[in-house]
Amino acid sequence: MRSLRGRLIVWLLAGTGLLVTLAGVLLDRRIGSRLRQDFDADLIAEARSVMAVTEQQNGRVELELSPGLLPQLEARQEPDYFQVWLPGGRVLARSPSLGGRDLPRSASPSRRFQFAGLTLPDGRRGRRVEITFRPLVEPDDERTAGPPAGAGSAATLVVATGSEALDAFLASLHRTLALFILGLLLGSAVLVRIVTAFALRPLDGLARRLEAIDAGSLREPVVIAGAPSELVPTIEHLNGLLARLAGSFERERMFSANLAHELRTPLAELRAVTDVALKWPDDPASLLGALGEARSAGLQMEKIVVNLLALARYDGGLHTLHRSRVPLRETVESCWRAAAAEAEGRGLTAMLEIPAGLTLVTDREKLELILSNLFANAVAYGSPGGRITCAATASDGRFTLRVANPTTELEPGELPRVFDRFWRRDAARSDGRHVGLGLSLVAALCELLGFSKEARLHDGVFEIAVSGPVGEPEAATAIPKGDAFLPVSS
Amino acid sequence: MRLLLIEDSQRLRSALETGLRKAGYAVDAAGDGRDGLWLALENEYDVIVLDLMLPGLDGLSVLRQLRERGKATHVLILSAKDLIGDRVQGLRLGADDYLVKPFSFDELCARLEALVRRSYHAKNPVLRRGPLEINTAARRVTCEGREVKLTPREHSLLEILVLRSGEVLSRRELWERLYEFDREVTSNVVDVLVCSLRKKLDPHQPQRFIKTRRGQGYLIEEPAP
Repeated sequence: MRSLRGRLIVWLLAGTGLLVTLAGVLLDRRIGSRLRQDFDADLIAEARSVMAVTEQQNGRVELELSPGLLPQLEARQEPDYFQVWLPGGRVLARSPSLGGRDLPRSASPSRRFQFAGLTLPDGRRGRRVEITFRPLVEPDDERTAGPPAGAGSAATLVVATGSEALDAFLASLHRTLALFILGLLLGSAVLVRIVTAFALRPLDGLARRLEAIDAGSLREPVVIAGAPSELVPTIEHLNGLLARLAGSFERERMFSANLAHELRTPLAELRAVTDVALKWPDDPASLLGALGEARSAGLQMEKIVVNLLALARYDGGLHTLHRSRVPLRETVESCWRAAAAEAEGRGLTAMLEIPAGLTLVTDREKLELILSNLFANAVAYGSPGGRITCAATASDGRFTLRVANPTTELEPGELPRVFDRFWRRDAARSDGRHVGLGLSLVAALCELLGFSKEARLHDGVFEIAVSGPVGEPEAATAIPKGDAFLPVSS
Repeated sequence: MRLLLIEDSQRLRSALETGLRKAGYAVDAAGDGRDGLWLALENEYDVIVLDLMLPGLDGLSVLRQLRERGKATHVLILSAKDLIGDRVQGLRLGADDYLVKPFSFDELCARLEALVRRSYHAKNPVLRRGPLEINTAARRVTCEGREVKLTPREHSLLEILVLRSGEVLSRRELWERLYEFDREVTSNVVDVLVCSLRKKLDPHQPQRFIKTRRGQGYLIEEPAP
């Protein structure tokens, strides 16, 4: 059974049924036992009365039952019965109700009261008590006869009475208890159903709310009025999940929109340039200019596609890492040289502080891609006239590389988005030279190489820190002291 | 006809400026929203071609401010945003047309022509004034069945005069409709252009179609009812 409500109902009913049945059975047993005890006590009392009038006198055992002493023995309808035997099986006395018939007795006499069921001589079901006892000895007889009679003077008494009333009452008690238990179970079933429906109402509300969630309502938190405390953590986790999902959807939408824009713009340029050139084909200078513009637009699209394909390959695991020993300082210098000209054009200077002996064991090509993109980003968005710094440190087998540039354009709230694909601070996305994939590539490459990355903004300086394992312990320790930094200005 | 092109993509802006000028439009261009808004408020244009994602001031804000300040110039939005919501928002803010990038240059021209016609309450692309027939879509002019070869600017001049038949248009007004904001032109450039057009329309009787109102300007008279 997969329904929570069904499970609750079944288990609660099964548990309640078991407990109620057990209680009923115990009650039935207890009442029955008590009634039988009382019944047997009456039987014993009757037997004791008979025993009391059984006396031994002058060596003879006599039973003198005065009329009216035990009226139940004399009743015409449904009478009780008794019979007394002397040793040797001689019948001393029997109740008048027996006539000449005998009551059954056990083969092994006992001095304790023994009870057993029987069918009475009048055909009723009954119960008998049997005891072997020594009759009372008259005092005079004791004086004259000396010591009491020996074993041979013991008598056996059986008293029997009808038990149909008791049996009928007990049967009625069984039925009453069974009906009570059944009623209780049925009542419990109804109650359990009502209670579970009431208790699970918040779950129904949650299910309805979840059913109503679509891509457009992910930002609306799930609120269930009167939610039980057990459900509150689930709802909180759910709302957290929805918020993350909404964020992902938003990023997805932004990605698609930005991608569309990034591709539509050069496509529109390409089409406009070629349309105009083809409409007036007689001007060779215009045609040549159009060809140049078309090529630029094509290169811009190529850049987008190449970067997207690279990201897709990294995401899809379609890559091979070629690890080798990479001297960080030389690699940083080499990558900086590619960006230096543009940095100079923007009036930016650079300070590279890389320990001379720091060597990483990693994929050289991908590390170069990380560095190139970090430098390109710093140059593109660094405040003109400012200084770009690139510094590295290493300790305990780990390195940290920081690339920082002054900026006046970034807000702290925008830091979480700097690694998003196609994210650009300029909502107009005017600068066609940048598409907003550089830092996304850095993030993907860092993940690929097992590095972590972090973006910070403090005192107007934007910094990206990349850190990770050096790769080999000995490489990490091979950092010479002294003139270990190579400042480079451009 | 004078257009304002507000587009941040330098490559696209340049291509459209070139193409639209060759098509006979006087084109002013701006690369960001603030400059574009200033130009739109300072000058009279037949149509404004407006990108939405602009640095400085986004296109919708430019449009909103134009309408708030009472500028009724026709606006054609040219944007990479292709969602219906974007189009609806743009049109509801007061744009007259919406064209999604990438687009055909011919389609852009056709839409601009339609907007220009709407500016002058003309629906038919073929304008007729007596023996003159001007096909604004094909940019073809005939006079008494004879095709008249005109430069794009001469064509624009004739189109303005015909569309506003019966109105005397001053040299200043014609200059504003025919030349870009930052173009240096000599004071008699409109006179020279009118003279050239007159000769092409009727070499034997130059003043047959375009009349001069001394001290006021030029006009093409409305045909008698």
